[in-house]
Amino acid sequence: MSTNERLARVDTEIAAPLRDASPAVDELHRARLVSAIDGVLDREDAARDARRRAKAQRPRRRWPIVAGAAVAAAALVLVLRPYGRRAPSPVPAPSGTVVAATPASPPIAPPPSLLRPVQEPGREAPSSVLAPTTSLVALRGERARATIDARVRLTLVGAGRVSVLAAAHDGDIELALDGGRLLVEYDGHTGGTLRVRSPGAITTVVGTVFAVEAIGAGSRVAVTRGQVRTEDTAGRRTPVSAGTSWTSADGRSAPIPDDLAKALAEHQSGGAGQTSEGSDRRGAAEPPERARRPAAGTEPTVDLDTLYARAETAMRERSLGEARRALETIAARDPRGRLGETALLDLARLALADGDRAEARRALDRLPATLRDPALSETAAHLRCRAQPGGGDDCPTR
Amino acid sequence: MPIRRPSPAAEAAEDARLVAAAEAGDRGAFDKLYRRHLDSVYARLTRVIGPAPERDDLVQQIFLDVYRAMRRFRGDASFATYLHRIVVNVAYEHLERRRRGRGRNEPLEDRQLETLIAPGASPEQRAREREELRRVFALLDRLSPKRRAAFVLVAVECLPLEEAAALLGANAPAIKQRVLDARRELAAALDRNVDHVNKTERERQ
Repeated sequence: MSTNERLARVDTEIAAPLRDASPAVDELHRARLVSAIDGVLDREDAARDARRRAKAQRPRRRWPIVAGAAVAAAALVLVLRPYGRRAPSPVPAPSGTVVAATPASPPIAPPPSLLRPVQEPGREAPSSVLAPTTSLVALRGERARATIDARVRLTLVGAGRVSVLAAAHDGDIELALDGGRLLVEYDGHTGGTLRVRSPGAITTVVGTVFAVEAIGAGSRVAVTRGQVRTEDTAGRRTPVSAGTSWTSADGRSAPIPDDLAKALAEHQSGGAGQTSEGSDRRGAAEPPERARRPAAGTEPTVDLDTLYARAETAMRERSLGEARRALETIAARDPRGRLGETALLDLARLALADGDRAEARRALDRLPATLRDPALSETAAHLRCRAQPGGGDDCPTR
Repeated sequence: MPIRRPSPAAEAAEDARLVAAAEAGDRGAFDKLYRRHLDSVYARLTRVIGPAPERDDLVQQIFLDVYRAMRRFRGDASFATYLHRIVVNVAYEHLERRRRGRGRNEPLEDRQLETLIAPGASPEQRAREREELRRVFALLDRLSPKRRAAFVLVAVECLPLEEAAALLGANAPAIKQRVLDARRELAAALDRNVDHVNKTERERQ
């Protein structure tokens, strides 16, 4: 067989049958294909939108980070400067031995200018409510109680000291715990934030019941109601939810130890009665005010719409901390209302913008099963998808 | 009344209109565009790679690639040429992957081959065509992806060398050589007893 004949045979036996084949798509197959391609393109559109949104947000996120870092650095300098001049004195026990916890790292103490003489054990408790710029001391096994405005109810289990670093009537309150166990009930309905500095940790809270315990150079934070955010010395932030505790030494979360849970329960119920731990002394002799009304002379409780307007302004101005505080307050005050649901969605969005999917999921988990507004349900579904581990690009558009 | 197919120039003009709209972000225009070309893409892909079950996925991939690349489409060639360049490229990559994972090359099933046979054929004719196509694809599987793609475009689809070269990203003499090499290789395979191929295929099944 000649070469040409052999090549012609290839055309006849291979090319021709393939040419005659009809690889057409029938109607049903075509419909399936079109549907699949539409789906692929829809996902691509969604991913493109998400990328565009992320890109649009990125430049706006830079300046608040820089500004926040600058403010934090300035605050740190202001807080730490006194250490160079004066170390906090240990709290003497009745026996004369030093009982205040002495962490290995420099103890967190308020600047001297904010201090007033601490309450000496055995003396009669000072009258009325503990005012800002004072300290509360409890000796070993002793309990001291105090309130700040009507917003904060403290129980300090010694040996330890808690100092008020700052307390605006309608704004943020900052405490420093130097040893001991601090049980706190904080009503954040006026919109402020409570921050507790303790060895190795800073705990930020909007409204909840929690405890901060100084353990050597570190701290343990336990929450029985609401949620707090802790920050260790390296700046790592960890949200601590109700029913869990966190320690700064290892950064791990764990169930609340029984004794601490019991102490928190007692604190929450008003702390009546003695405990086996020791005497029960009212540092601030007046019983704690549980009412959710603002303290005298403070701004009346802000209505939700005003609060949400504040949150929106803060979000626009990228004051994210302030926005979160306002949104948390709205969510706490209106948990089943439309504004509360919107606030939770905004919190989830802010968390996603920070790349914190876990925090976003926590905000979304607080939403009721059925939202009032169907449009919000769609948004919630979209955010839930984005908040899933590894989620994002494949989420459908809202 | 006979259906009047639009002329190629009219088709190209309509493509250009839809491309311009799609480039401006009109998703509906792109949908129309891909639906116009879906059949030709599917047919070409099938001829090059065979009635592989992955065809649907590859078609999706092709249109996704085109969608993503719409902004880079400069209009130097017609949209159809641009699209089929991507088709051939995707088909070539698929053949390469299949070649590397030779052990996973599944034999073609009857129902896959059935999709290539005209609906009106008798059962006997269908059976004969199935076997014929099975042998054809078994022989084509012996070729390198480059030779196979060139052979299909030139010898099966009868494209001019220049057009095939444009789709394959090579020059016309190179394509001519690839087609010649493919023909020689296939002729040698036919000489070596084509029945052996069928037997092997049957055994593999």
